[in-house]
Order: sequence, then C-alpha cells, then structure tokens
Amino acid sequence: MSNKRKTEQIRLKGRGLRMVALVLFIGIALASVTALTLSVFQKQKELQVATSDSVIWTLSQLEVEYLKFSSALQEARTDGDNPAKLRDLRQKFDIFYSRVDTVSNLRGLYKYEGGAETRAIFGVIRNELDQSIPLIDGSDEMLAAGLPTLSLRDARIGDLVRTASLENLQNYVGISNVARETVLRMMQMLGALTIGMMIALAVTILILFRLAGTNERRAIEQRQLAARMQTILDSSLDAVLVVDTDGFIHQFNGAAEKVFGYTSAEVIGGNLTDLIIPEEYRRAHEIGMQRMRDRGETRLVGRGRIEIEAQRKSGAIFPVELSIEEVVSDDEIYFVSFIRDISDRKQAERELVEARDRALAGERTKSRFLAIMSHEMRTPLNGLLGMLDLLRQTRTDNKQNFYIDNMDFSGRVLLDLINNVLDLTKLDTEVDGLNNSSFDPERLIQEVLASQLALARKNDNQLHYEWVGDPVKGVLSDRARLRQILLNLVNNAIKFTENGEITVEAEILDPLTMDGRPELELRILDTGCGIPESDIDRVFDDFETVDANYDRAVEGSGLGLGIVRRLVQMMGGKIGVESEVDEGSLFWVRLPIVKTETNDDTAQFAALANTVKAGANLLMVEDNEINRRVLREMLEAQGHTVAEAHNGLEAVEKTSIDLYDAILMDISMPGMDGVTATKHIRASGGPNAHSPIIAVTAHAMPEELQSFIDAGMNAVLNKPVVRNELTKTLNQWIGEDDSFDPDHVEEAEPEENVIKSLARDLPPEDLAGLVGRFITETDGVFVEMAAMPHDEEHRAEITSMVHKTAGSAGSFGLSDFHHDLAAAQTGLKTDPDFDISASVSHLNRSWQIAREEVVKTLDDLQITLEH
Amino acid sequence: MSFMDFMGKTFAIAALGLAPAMANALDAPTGEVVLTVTGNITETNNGDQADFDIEMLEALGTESFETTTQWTEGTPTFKGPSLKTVLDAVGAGSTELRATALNDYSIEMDAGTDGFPGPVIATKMNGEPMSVRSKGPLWLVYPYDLDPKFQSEVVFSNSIWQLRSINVAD
Repeated sequence: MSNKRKTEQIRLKGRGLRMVALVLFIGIALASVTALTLSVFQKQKELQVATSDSVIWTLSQLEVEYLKFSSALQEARTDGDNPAKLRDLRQKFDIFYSRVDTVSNLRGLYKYEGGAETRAIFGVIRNELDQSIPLIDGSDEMLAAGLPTLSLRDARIGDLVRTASLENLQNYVGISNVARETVLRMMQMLGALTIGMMIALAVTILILFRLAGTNERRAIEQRQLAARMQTILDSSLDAVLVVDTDGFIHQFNGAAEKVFGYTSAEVIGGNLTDLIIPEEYRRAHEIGMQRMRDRGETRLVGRGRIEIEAQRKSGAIFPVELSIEEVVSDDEIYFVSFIRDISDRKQAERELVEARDRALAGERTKSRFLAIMSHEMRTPLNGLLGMLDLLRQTRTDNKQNFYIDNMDFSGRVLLDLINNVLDLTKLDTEVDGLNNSSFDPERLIQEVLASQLALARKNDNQLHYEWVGDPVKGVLSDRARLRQILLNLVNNAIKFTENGEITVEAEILDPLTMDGRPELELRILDTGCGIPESDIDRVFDDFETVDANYDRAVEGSGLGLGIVRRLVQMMGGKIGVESEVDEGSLFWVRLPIVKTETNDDTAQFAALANTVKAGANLLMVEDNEINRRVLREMLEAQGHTVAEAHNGLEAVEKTSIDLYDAILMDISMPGMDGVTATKHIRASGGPNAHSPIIAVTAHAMPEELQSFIDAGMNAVLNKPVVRNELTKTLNQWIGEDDSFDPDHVEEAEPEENVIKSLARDLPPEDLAGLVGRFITETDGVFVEMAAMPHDEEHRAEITSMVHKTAGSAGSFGLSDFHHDLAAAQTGLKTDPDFDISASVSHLNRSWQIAREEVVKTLDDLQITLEH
Repeated sequence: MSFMDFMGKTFAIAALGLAPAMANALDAPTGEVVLTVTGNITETNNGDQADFDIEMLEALGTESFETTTQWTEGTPTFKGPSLKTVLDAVGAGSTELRATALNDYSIEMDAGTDGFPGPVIATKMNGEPMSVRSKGPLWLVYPYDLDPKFQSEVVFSNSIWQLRSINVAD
C-alpha cells in the first residue's frame, strides 16, 4: 500500500515536473513571440514612418526642383531684364534651397554606410547655394548681373545633385533590403517559434488530455471505492463510527443506528461523549481524548478487540466489543470504531456458565445422594449384622444357626453391594493416593480365595490357585486395592459359574525392555456361562449386568467390574477379558510392581493374633440410668465385665482401688464432671493413671474435644453410643478384636429404631420399665422447665436439663428429638440472645412427636407400659 | 445625449462659426497674398476666391505647439490658425479639399470636422516667420508628437509645406 502510494507520488511528481517545464517553455515562447511581434511591429513602423516619407519622391523632387531652378535660371538669362523672370528665379531658388535643406536634414537617411559622404555632398550643394544667396536676395540689377555666376555654379550643382541622388537612392535600396531581410528573419523566427509553441501546446493538450483521462478513471475508481465502502459500512453487522480528534461524529452506519437507537442525522456532527459513552465513563473518556490531542497518546487505538460498555439512546448501558483504528487523510486524523453489541453473547455465556454449574452441581448431588443413600443403608445393615452376631452368642439350635448363617450371608452380600456403590462414588469424587506396601502376593490370593470359599461352595464351584514361574518374597503395591480387585474378579467368576471351576493364576512378568517395570499378572479363569461377543466391550462399564436370557439371572449391582477397572487404572495397570459363551471367561490384570526381598505380612498377622482377648474389665461412669443400661448391654454382649460409677467423684474413688482395662467417662454429670474426674485419675498416680479413658458425650463442641484431650482423655465416643463405634474404639485402646471389617466401620449414626433393637436384647418388662421411666422423666423435665422463668438466671439449669434429656433421647434413637435438643443446647451454651422460651416450647412439641413414636413402637412390639 | 441637445449644439457651433465671419466679412488683404482658397466656399474677397495675407490668417486665432518633425532639427514651436478655423472662415461647404504648394506639390485630403489638435496652417516657427527657403511662408503641420495617429503615412504626406492654395471640393 505505502509502496504503491510512493510510486504514485513519484509518478505524479515526474508528471508535475514535466508540466512545469512545458509551462515554462510556453511562457518563454510566448514572451519571445510577443517580443518578436513587437519588434516586427516596431520594424514595420520604422519602415512605415522613417523611411516611408517617400524618400524616392523626395529625391526625385530634389532633381525636379533642381531642374526647375536650372530652367528658371536659363529663362532669366535669355530675358535678363524681365523682373517676372527674376522673381520666378528667386522662388525656384528658394524652393530648391528648401528641398536641399530638407533632404540634408532627413532623419535616418544617412545612417547607413557611406551616408556621411552623401551628406558631405549635400553640404557642398548647400555651400554653393549659400554663396548664391547674396545675389538672389540682392536687387534685380545685381541678380541680373550675377546670372552668369549662378549658371557656373548651377553646372556644378547639377552634377552634385545627380551624384547625391543616385548614391542616395542606391543606399536607400540597400537599407530597404537589410530592413526586409531583418523583417524576414524575424518572421522566420516568429514562424519557428509559433510552430514550436503549437507543438508545445499540442503536447500540453495531449498530457492534459491524458491527465484528465487518468483523473476521470481515478475519480471513477474513487467513486466505486467509496460506493463499495459505503456498501460495506451499510451492510456491516458491526456499528461503524468515524470520529475526529475532537470526538465529533462524521459517519454513523446503519448497524450503528440499530445498535444505539439514534438515526444517523441525529448524531452526525454531534459529540461521541454525550451520545454513546455512559455517564460514569465520560470523564475518563474526555481525559483520554485530551491526552491524545496533547501528546498523540492513544490507549485503545489499534489494540484489537476490547470489551467495554456503551450507552443507547434510551440510556440503557450494554456491553460492546470495540476496536479502533486510526486513519490519516489530508493531515486530519480520524478514528474508525467498529462496535459490536455483545449483550446476547454475554447473556449466552452467562447461561452456559449457569448450565455448566447446574450440571456440575447435579453431578455432585448425584454422587452425594449415592454416598448418603449407601451410607444410610449401610448403617442399619451393620446393626442387623451386629445383632446376628449377638444372636449367635445366645443359645440357639442347629436350625436356628442355619437361618442365622443364611441371614448373615445375605446381609453381607447386601453390604458388599452398598460398599461397592460407596467405593465407586468415592473413586469418582476423590483422587486417592496409592498406599503402597510390601506384601506376599500368594498370601493375599489365598486370603481372598478363603473368603470366597463359602460362596463358591454354594454354587458347587471349586476354587484353584496356581503360581506360575518363580515365587517372589514380596511385591510393592497397594495391598488393599489389589485385594479388592482380586476379590471382585473372583466373586464375579463364582457368580457366573455353577458346578464348575474357578482358577486363579499369578505370574511375575519380567520387563521386555531395560527401562520397563516388572508386572504382576493375575488371570482368573472360570468355566462359567461366558460372555457373548456383543457384550464383551461393556463388561467393565458401570451398572452392566449380563443379559437375563442366559442360564440364570445373576444378582448384582453391575458395579464390581467397573470398580476393578477404575482401580486397575489408578494403579497404572491394564485389564482385559477373553470369553466364549458356555465355555467360560478369562479375566486378566497386569499391574506394574516392584519385587521386594521382604514383606510386612508377618507383623500384621501377629498384631491381629494379639487382638484376640477375653472380656475386659471396664469402668462405666454415667449418671443417666437408661444410658447405663444400654451401654452395659452392649459391653456385656461382647463378653466384657462392667463396673459402674454414677458421677465423677465415684469414678475417682473406684479407680483409686481397682485396675480397669479402660474407663468410659461421661462428661456432663452432677457433682464432679468427667473432665475433672479424668484430671484427678491422671494426677492421682493410682492404678488407673495410665488406663485408657474414653469420653462419652452427647454433644461436644470441637473446642471442648480439645479440652478432653488436654485433660488426659484418649478418645471420644459420641452419644448415642453405637456398637460399631464402641467396638472399634475399644479395639483401638485395649486390643479388643472385632467381628467386623474395620474398613467398613466408620461414622456410624443412630440406628433406625433403638427400642426395637433393645427389645431383642431385653426382656419386655425391663424394656417397658426403661422406656416408661424415660417418658416419665422427660415429661417431668418439660413440666419443670415450663414452670420456671426463662431468664438468664435459669439458663444454666435449663441447659443442664436439656443436656440430660438429650442423652436419653439419643440412647433411644429418637433422632429428630435428639437433634432438636442438641441444637437447643448449642444455642443455650453459645448464643447470649438465644430465645429460651421459644426453644422450650419448640422442644416440647418435638417431644410430643417423639413420645407418640415411642408409644407406637411399644405397641408394635406388644409391650404395655406400666403406669 | 438627446436629439434636441445634439441639434442645439450644432446650431450653436454654426452661429459661433459664422459670427466672426459676418462681423469682419473678409477684408481684402493688405499684405502679400500667401493663401488663396477657392471652390465650395461662401466667404470671398477676390471674385469667387478668398485671399489671405499673413496678418489675416493670424487674426483668425492661432494655436501654438511644440513638436519634432522628420524634416527639422530639434523641437520647433509652430504657431498658426488651425485648418478648420481657416475653412470655417471661408464658409467651406465640405471638408474634402485639395492643397497645393509653391513647388506644385499637391495633395487631396479630408480636413475632418475637428479643430485642434489637428492640422494647423503654421505662419511662424519658433516665433519667426518662415521664408520659402525654410518651408514657408505657410506649412500645414500636425502636432506629430501629441498622438501616434499623427504619425501615419497619410499625415506625413498631408504635411504640405510652402502651402499656397486650397480648393474646397463640392
């Protein structure tokens, strides 16, 4: 573009120079012609004026007048006495004299070569004539007497006149020739100059013609370009504004009219600032414009697309995308702004983000729902399985034992299912690090197979195991995950095989390349129904179960293999399956491992072995009788011996005498509380100074928890105490074995209906007494609370009553009521503005609901309350 | 200028032109006759011709001017009545006339209707009467230097010296 422009400029400059030269030439030629013409005129005039006075006439007249004089002289001589003749002679003399005088004075006649000589001749003639004057002017007598003298002179004058006349004439002709030639030369020059000028004019005309052509072409191009530009501007989807350095609008296209709501006529000549800049940006805009005018500094020009806000005629502010370019024309600077209304885009972006957020939230909700549901299902299931354990320890006959086994089996299948769902959601929501340890893979395989033996036997399957190649001492991998992989695969094989064989083969594959890692390959072969080819690609997908058309429907979540696939991927391994319908399937897993020379299995097994311990000797410190009974049931059911203390002081006394394996300590008790008691026990140096003390509390604040630990407590159990939690904690502190997989015991929540569960452990009359007392006591608490003023003075008392009731409500699994009590307790403890009255009446309503629930449960159990 | 104005002016000029002629009539010349006017004239003093001596001519009223001429040296001063004055004095019926010199040089000319600046019948050059030797006694001269129109061939040939007679055409 700039090169082209430069070339154009050079061409124009060349053309300009040529034009200047031509004009100069024409000017000079014109001046020359004028000068020449003037010269010619001058010459012409000269010829007309100076020499036109009939020189020839004058000269011939000279001779004529001489002859007349000569003739008059002759006459006078012949008739000498006639005065008329003399008078005539005198006149003729005078005339001739006058003529000579005239000729000798004739201007310009003697300017030629030899003119002086001619003039001299006239001088001589004049002299002769002057000599005659005394005779002519004298008397007639004198003249008559002098006539011979005059005749003598006359002869001489005659010759002289003749000579002068001839010479003069000759010279004059010469002069005329010279003059003519001069004029001719001038005419020739004039002609040449005129021709030259004509040519120059022709060339000029030609150039002008061509220039005009070029200009016209250019003008047409310009018009077309302008028209195209206009079309582009008009059809542009973006608003286009052309603005000068003062912010005045020069162009405003159709799109701009649509975007801003102004017509072009309204804004052309108006100022940008007042029209489309939102109020709040105007000052900044003006400062920017001023800076640009002062220093030529621009911040937006040529910066590509910028997102800012603009204002419509209606005053509405809307987002725009803006790009500004600078245009310099005729030393004026203009800014061309392209503006796009991006309200819709912004809206779409917002909607997209919202949709994405909703989708993500939905996904999270689904995961959370699954996790919570599974969790909610697992908790009662654990309770069920726990009760089965307890049931097994009562006196049962063989038939009952068989039922219990079946129930236990079903329960565990259900638990597995739930655990699978939980695992899956966990795997999807968390990125767990691998927990690598060194272990013996053979032992792991045997363990898994042993756990599946019962299931296998049920389907009349036989389990085999084979280690291929050299055995290893240990491998470094995530044992728990590998265990689950193998378990799921074996479990899967058993489910789909009936009256067949399941074989697990294991082999260490040494790396094929130097930098490769050895892999552990597990192959699980079965002689089951196999997988049709059309389904084989889907077996690792979630919730995929084989088609019901085959031999038998297999129950399952369809999650087992999905979990396996995730786990294998997490461990950086590969998984595959080969299968033939009715022949069986082969699942293989290859996991990268590191071979080790030792393993940690021995220590683990030893630790496990040591946990098997007979009933421990425990001290239970608890002021609430119901809580004491429930907890005692649980502990005794596990074979422990339980001693009781009803408050802190009693606990301190008892612990100073007897040694206990562990102490379960309530926190909030009349007299001395649990924290104080713990401090005393620890400080006493007595037999239990180092015994584990486990806090049992209904509702503990996090900062309180820390104070428990500071006081010397070892663990915290939340009320209502649930069996799993209790077992796990005891196991942790006194090496108590537990009948559940510890991995699956976590965050247990209140069991669904504690009263029904208690009904299984307690004789009906005992339960009736227990529940009856709870109801009576709680009714009493609400009567008492309603009677006292709900002010600051009684806040502590009310708090204490709420706390006590909360413990009992938790023990009976009245979760809603317990929750309300806990909330009230928190408010009473922490919120100085807590509305005590409102809370008390709310708790009263909550209690009435819970009370009906309890009564109904007892009705269901056909237990009658004693009144 | 309206027609009536034009007519009025013409009458006025005619009246003025005639008045002196009527007053002096044309006296007979007392000195040597230097100019004889003949032809289409109303005023005469010698049969059907009008004769003038120098004194009579100068009495008609004179013009005086300086000019160079191609026939003289320097810038002489000429003095004499204008041709028109003379023609008016004789009641010339035409401006077409023939002038003849002592040497029989003769020209036909149109004297025109204008007075001075125009042809003057000079009686004096540089304040002196002119002799026949010095192109006198009468010389029809024009104020050549005054206007380029007095520098034409026609004017030069009209400049008749040693003027002796004028014949006014019919």
